[in-house]
Amino acid sequence: MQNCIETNGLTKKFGKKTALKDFDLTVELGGIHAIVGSNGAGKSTLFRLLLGVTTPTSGSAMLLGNDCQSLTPDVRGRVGYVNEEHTLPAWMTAGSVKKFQQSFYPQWNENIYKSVVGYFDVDPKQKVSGLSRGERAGLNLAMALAQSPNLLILDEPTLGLDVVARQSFLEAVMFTETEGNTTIIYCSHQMEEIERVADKLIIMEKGVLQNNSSPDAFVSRISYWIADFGGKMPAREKIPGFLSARDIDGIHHVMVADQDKSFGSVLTQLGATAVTPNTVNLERAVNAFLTKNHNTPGSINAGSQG
Amino acid sequence: MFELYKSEFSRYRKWSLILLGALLGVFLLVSKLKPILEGDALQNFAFTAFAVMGGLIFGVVQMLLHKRTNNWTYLVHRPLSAHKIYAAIAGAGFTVVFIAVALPWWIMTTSLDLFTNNVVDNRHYVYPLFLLLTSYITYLIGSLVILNPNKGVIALLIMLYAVLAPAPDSTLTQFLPSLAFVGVFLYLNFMSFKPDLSTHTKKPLAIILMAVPMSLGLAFLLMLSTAVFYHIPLFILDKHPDNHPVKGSYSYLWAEVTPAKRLAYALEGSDHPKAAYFIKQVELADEGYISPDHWTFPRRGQMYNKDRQFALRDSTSNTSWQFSHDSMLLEGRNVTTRQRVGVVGMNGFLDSADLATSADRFDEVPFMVGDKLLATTKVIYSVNFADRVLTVKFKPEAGEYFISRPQPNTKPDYASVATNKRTLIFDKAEFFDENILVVPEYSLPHPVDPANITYCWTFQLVDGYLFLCHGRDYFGFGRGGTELIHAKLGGTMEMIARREYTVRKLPSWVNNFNDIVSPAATYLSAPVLRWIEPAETGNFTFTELRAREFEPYIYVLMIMFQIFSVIAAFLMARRHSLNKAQTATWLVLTAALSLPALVAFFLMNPWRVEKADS
Repeated sequence: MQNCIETNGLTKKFGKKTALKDFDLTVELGGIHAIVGSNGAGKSTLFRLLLGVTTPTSGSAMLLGNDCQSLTPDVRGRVGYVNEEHTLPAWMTAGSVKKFQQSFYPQWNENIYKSVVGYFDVDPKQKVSGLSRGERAGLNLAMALAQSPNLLILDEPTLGLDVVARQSFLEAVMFTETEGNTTIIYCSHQMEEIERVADKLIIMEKGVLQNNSSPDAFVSRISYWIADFGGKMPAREKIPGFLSARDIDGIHHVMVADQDKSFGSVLTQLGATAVTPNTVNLERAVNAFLTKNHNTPGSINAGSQG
Repeated sequence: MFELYKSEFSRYRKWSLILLGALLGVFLLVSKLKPILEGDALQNFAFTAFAVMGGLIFGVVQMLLHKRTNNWTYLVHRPLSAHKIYAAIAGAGFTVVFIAVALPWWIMTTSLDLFTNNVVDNRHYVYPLFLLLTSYITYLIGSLVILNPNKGVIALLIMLYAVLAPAPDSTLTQFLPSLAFVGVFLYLNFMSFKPDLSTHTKKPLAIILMAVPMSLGLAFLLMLSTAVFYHIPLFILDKHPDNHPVKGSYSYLWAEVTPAKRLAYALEGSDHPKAAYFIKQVELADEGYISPDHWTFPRRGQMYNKDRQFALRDSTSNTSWQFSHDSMLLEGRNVTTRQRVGVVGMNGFLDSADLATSADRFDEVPFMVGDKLLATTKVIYSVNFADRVLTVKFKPEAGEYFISRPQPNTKPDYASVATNKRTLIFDKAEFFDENILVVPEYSLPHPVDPANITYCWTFQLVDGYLFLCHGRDYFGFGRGGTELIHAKLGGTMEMIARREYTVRKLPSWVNNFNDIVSPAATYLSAPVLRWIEPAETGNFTFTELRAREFEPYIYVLMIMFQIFSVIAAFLMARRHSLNKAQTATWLVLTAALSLPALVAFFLMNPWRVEKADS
């Protein structure tokens, strides 16, 4: 199967700050691929590199089999991009923006446009600057999807949308994924959205790729244990795959990665008297994964992370 | 691409139309106060400044709005090549500049042409074209400042000097530089408009087209830098030659505040028997001055803002006489009724322009002196409006032509004019009386090439005039000098004394710093400016530049700077891992343009070299 995105050793530095480091990512054609990561993880930098508006410090990136540094108009026409601001010409009316955008894409699918924009209440005579954030997002998504792209990159498209608009947006995305032949890269901080739409989950952390698998496969890597250590939990370094722990009424709730059922005996050996395995959902799993190396004032002061 | 152009234009359409309306309002207001097509200095400055600053600000703002990260991605990520996207943006920019800057002028000029009796020539329609090109040049520089990571793009504004400063000799020299700059800056913008704006220009042609004009600007800035490391420190230490004049130098002339002392300084070392007598005479003499240097005469079809005078005015008949470049006649109108009252041709008054034959039309555009004189390079005419008579007031000898305009002097009372051979002095009252033919009272053959004479002081004596002519380059490049000539009543001339000032006020390296840091910059700019305006002798030709002689150590410094620049450019090119073509381009540029090209290298390349593995 052809890859729609392929990066090899992709590194981007801004002065002394490294935004992406030896980033190797392969995204196959088809499906919805969710990208999650905390702020500063390098998601937007990755998109800018993929779209060729930033040059990598080293490494390479390919989009639909083409070098991102020399994307032709033809390739650009096959890749849609929607950013979190839903950038559109604010001085034009919704109708004229649609006409304007349509002029660039011979493959424009009017049915998709109408179907998607139908989720939102967009008046074609209204200036873009006068649209609500949800309407603007809907118009932007409708146009991006009507371009019939092979690949659609959505960078936090539901940021700032209310529940209704977000719901409409997700339905529109799923409609297109089902109807069209579009691979969607969906970047979001909203886990319930990811859980709902994603076929693949890509996790980035501090410019490094941490996971690229299905959400289920990722969740299966994370296990959640309740253990009674009689007050004091052993040092985190001693717990293999440690992600996070919470002390609730003297009982410790421990989240670990990549541990099998025998992990219970590990906890027992570390002094736990009662050990109970538990299920974990995607949101908790991702949160635990991302908070593992997240700096906190305490961790900075202590010179350790956790 | 056209859709993008339309979208971009629609963004600024309202503002450009507001400016169009505002300018038309301003024209209406100004036309109530004075003839709008009269090119006075304040009006010229205001509209030129509007065109220059408006274009620059618009170019910067337009690109800044696109450059925001998300806006930029939205702009460039579409199935259009970067060149087509920029063409649409720059095309919209041109339309906006056209509507806001040039169109109001064309509307106003056409209205005056169609609905009034004013003189409206083809040249009046040319002025908006000049404003349009000037404004579009600054627009392109403004957008280049934002699009190109080069930190010295703003230095390209120096090129405006060639567009704004000279009085061009022809329509070709008027517009060729502007069109060339538009072409070059458009090309540089096309090269700079790429998805990743942080990457520097790599094409050798783009490097050359960017580095050469930048180097000219940087050479000027480097020349000004002597203020920082020489002039200002010496002023602070109170040791600057301006505060402590250097005796024996040319500039010491101005340290002597009285004419007699100045004359005494010029006569130092003279063994002329009447030297002391002249110094004594000058103590009581009236002092005037004459500039025999070349003046740019008006040319047919020149832009009206270059006119020195709008019209001759006859208050008795309440008529105004304006020269038409199209008809080559002086056309008269009643100031109140605007009715035509006849024309003046080379052979005198006519009742109507329709009666003028080709022999009646002036063969050169005359310029006006006061209210009654007209002058070309060959003849000075006086106009008697009451009797409707045109008289040849003075005509130089065959092979002789005027190089300066008539200059009235108040004390002593005389009028002077310089020809290519001599300086003539007339009785002032006679010169400006329309009924009197004049002959010069004094005729002073130019002691040296008039281009080398800054001006001549004149001192009126009982038996004639003393001329103290002087110039920084009086005896040749850098050889300041004075020459004292006694012009006696009756026409005889006697050279009293010549003096060359061999002591320099400033060290040669300060005086010639621009040549030291970049000999080629002078060779590139001065002859071009001279080509645009040949009468501006301050800009040397190639031949004049080659004839200059410097002190030997100046040549050594020139060579040292060039070698240093080449070596430094080579080392920097290696550090930046430039390819062979780019390295060769920079080596040629630094070898030719020396230090300014090296500075351009630093500005046109990243200051920090990013290493992937560091």
